Amino acid sequence: MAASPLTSIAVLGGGLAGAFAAARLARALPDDIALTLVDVSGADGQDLFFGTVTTPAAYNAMLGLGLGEPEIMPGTDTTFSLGTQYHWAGREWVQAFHQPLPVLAGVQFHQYAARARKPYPDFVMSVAAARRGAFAHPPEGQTTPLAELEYGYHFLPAQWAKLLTDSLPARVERAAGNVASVEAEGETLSAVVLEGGRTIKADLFIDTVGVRDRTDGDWSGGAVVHAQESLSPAQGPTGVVRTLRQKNDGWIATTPLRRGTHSLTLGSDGADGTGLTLGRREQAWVGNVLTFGLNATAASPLTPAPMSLLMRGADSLAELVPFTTEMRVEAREYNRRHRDDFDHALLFERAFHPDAHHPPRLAHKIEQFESRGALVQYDLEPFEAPDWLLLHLGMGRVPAARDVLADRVTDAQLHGQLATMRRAVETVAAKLPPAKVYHDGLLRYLGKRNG
Amino acid sequence: MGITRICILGGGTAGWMTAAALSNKYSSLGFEITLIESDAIGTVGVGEATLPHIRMFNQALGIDEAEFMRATRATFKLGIEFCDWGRLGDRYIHPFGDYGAPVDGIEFHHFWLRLLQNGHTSELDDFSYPVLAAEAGKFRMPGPDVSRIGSNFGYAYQFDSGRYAKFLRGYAESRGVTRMEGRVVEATRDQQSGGIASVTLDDGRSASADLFIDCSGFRGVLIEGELETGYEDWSRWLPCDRAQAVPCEARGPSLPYTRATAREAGWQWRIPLQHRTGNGYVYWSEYISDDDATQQLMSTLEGPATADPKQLYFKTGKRRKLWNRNVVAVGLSGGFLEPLESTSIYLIQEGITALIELFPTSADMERDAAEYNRRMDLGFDRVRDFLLLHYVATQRDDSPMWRYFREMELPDSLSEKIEAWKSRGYVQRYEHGVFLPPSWIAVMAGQGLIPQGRDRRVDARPMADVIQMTDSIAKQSHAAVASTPDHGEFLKRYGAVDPSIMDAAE
Ligand SMILES: Cc1cc2nc3c(=O)[nH]c(=O)nc-3n(C[C@H](O)[C@H](O)[C@H](O)COP(=O)(O)OP(=O)(O)OC[C@H]3O[C@@H](n4cnc5c(N)ncnc54)[C@H](O)[C@@H]3O)c2cc1C
Repeated sequence: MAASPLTSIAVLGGGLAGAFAAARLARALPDDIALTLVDVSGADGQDLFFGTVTTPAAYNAMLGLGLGEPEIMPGTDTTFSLGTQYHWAGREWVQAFHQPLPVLAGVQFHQYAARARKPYPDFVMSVAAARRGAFAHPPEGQTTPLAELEYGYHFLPAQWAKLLTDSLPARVERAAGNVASVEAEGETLSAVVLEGGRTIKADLFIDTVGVRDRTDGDWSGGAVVHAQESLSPAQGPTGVVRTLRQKNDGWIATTPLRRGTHSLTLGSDGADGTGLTLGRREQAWVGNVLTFGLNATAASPLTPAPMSLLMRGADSLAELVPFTTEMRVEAREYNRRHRDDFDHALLFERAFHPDAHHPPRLAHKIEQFESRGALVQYDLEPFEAPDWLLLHLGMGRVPAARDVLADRVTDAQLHGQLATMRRAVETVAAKLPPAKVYHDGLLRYLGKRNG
Repeated sequence: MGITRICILGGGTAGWMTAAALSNKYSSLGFEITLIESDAIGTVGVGEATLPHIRMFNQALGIDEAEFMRATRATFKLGIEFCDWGRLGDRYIHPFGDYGAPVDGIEFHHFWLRLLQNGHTSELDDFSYPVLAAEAGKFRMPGPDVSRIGSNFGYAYQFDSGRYAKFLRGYAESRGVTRMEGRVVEATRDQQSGGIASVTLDDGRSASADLFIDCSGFRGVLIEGELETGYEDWSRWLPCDRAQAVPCEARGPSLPYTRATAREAGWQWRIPLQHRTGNGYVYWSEYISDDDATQQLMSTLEGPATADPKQLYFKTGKRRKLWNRNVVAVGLSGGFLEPLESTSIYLIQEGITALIELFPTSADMERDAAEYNRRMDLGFDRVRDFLLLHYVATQRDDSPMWRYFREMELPDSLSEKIEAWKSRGYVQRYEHGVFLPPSWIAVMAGQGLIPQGRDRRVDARPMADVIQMTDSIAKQSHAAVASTPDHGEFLKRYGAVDPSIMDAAE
């Protein structure tokens, strides 16, 4: 078949992934590409596996879709998140979002902290705020410690899916129903027929529901997990981090949302929870079908990886929307990014497990950290050096040696400087309002503004 | 026991850069740093065009820019002009800087592609201040606001490498580096670790150390001569294996860029310095004799030669391990990828940076070496693909060398990149390694690979907007160039010109 211009895309959605992809494409693409979003019933059945935490990247991702905090906060249970407090492997730490602390005289900050035998997290603004359950927006363009506060969101996938779907412009044609059958020739899908007879034709299908079978060899991973969630009205003070506790065969996470505390239990034992097979497709994009969302990459919500992967997938898709119906190059490049993103995220997740057989790239990271505090980063990892640093320290990994260049300052200089920094962080944190107070104030303000 | 005694073998660009950087970092900790060099052997004597990264290197040493430029008779460099690469008669400049700036998060060149693909004429160069400034022989420093056209570019230098080494020698010696002159004839090994314990000079003196930096040039006296580390031969992809270099008197105004002209069996460089022009012919000995190469080189000089041509031999590739036991190979001893994009000094710098970050804390250096080698291998790989691109993104088939490249089977990593560009103007991004997307765009577009498609998102704007936006950027870049001084004038005003040259000129 000769290549012709690509003129239509259909998103087989119904949950968060479909809504996100549709919103992204609708914003980005010219009007001569027709977009259809199909609400496939039950497609959101596994959406609880997106977890309840996003990284700070969600701010720009949502803003790019026209959804800033004034749009997101009032209508949903979304709250600000400074990260996750883990009770894990017999240890406790706050895995807070943060930018690297300053490199002084060419030496990374944590090397100085190690020399002074001071806990590195004590110098991280978002950790200090998290410990106090306090929050305020970081001021822009200033150099106070508060400006270093990095935050993501606590959210409910179903609410964000609705928010995104409601914001879709009129150009997105909508359809609903179960998929009854497909019309395909080789790797090319020409149409999806819905129950009730409606036929959806498109040049490219974004498949979040699994129209494309997961044949053997198309899925790497395999562990099946089960999850259950519930929301209970808030009692007592609410915090600014998700709290995640390890249990026998899994974990339970509680997330402070606006109307109450959400809890998510995940484990391998699946009496009456929802099941999901973790892992990823070998090829997310084959022919003219791009599998997307949990249907393509299913990372554990132990970390914010599921949302990060969704956002990255949408970035890759937006950048690689084919020019014509010949889309081999696009698929290959998308698949490369898909594999890298997932595999890098998986390294981070595996690093929570001390005794597992780590893949070589993770073993190398850990070895480098444990031998000398070096942070090895591969290309464009979803989790960056500061995330790795807190995780290593949280897991109790202690470097055997440190950078000798950290010895160039005198003890007095070192302790003076560290004390000043620590004090600055503490002083700012002490002045921050409790997260709930700040959040309520913000909503009141937005309410007034919107009349 | 810590690692406190460092011995650097070699006093070329690599040796003295290493000595300067290490003395800056470690002298105050009481480390002993020794550098051994042999006047009889001398240095390779080439390597005069750099990449913008060298500015960070100099800055970290606290070097004053004008003073350094006076001492090394340096000129500014905005990029490299490539002549006759895509086709005979073609030329383009690969600048140190972006084309335009992203719009709505979409790389600018896609807007340019939309113009082209809709029948408009538009020159990519009009969106690059450094290209236009270079063409006009002009230069000024980038301003602080990088969002402005005329500020989002980088620059490097073209300098006298012998003078640079001397300049850094002064720096290093004043920070306690001990220099020994003589020829290393022997090394002794540590029985336990298998590493090198000491080296002995021809006059019987010896130097022992915990860590050896092999900067001995192509010989690789320690990394290969002693440790037999092995060499990964890349001449299948980068087959040029010889060069001749000759300086000549400069003619015309001093230009802020290097030139690389493709020839039938290799290519020729032209590097303008304050006091002379450096020239060289890099060639594949299979397809041209040394005599013919000399003849071609000498017949194309712009002014009288000021020395005899120097013959150089090399094999492209890299050491199997750049760090082996307690020896780190920095410079030509570690590998060489031919000088087409001025990457050697950059790789020296990367080596030094990585060494400092991974400086060994005990005699067991295996882990430090593992990470060092991983990083450097990636750096070399990425440079290799980019260099090879120049030879294969071409329609030339007018000589056996060009036909060889036509028929070559490319590494997958490169053929995928070329295909993604050709089909939709897509350039892979990565975080580590030199040559960001704008460099790939410069070479691929400059050598005549024009994509068929583009990023679909650029079509979301009305065409009239795109025309207006691109016109306005082109106007801004031309206006910025109009108010830029001549390169020669800027050098003088900046106090960068060696006074003895000023005198001579008057
Ligand atoms: C043709 C050509 C063109 C180039 N152009 C560029 C360019 O434009 N840009 C760029 O960045 N790079 C370029 N390079 C590379 C650049 O020249 C080198 O990377 C740079 O000069 C560093 O060389 P070096 O110090 O490793 O080796 P050398 O300059 O060879 O120095 C080796 C040192 O080791 C000493 N030595 C050797 N053996 C012994 C011994 N047994 N005992 C004691 N001392 C010993 C020598 O005396 C000397 O001091 C080019 C290279 C070539 C071949």
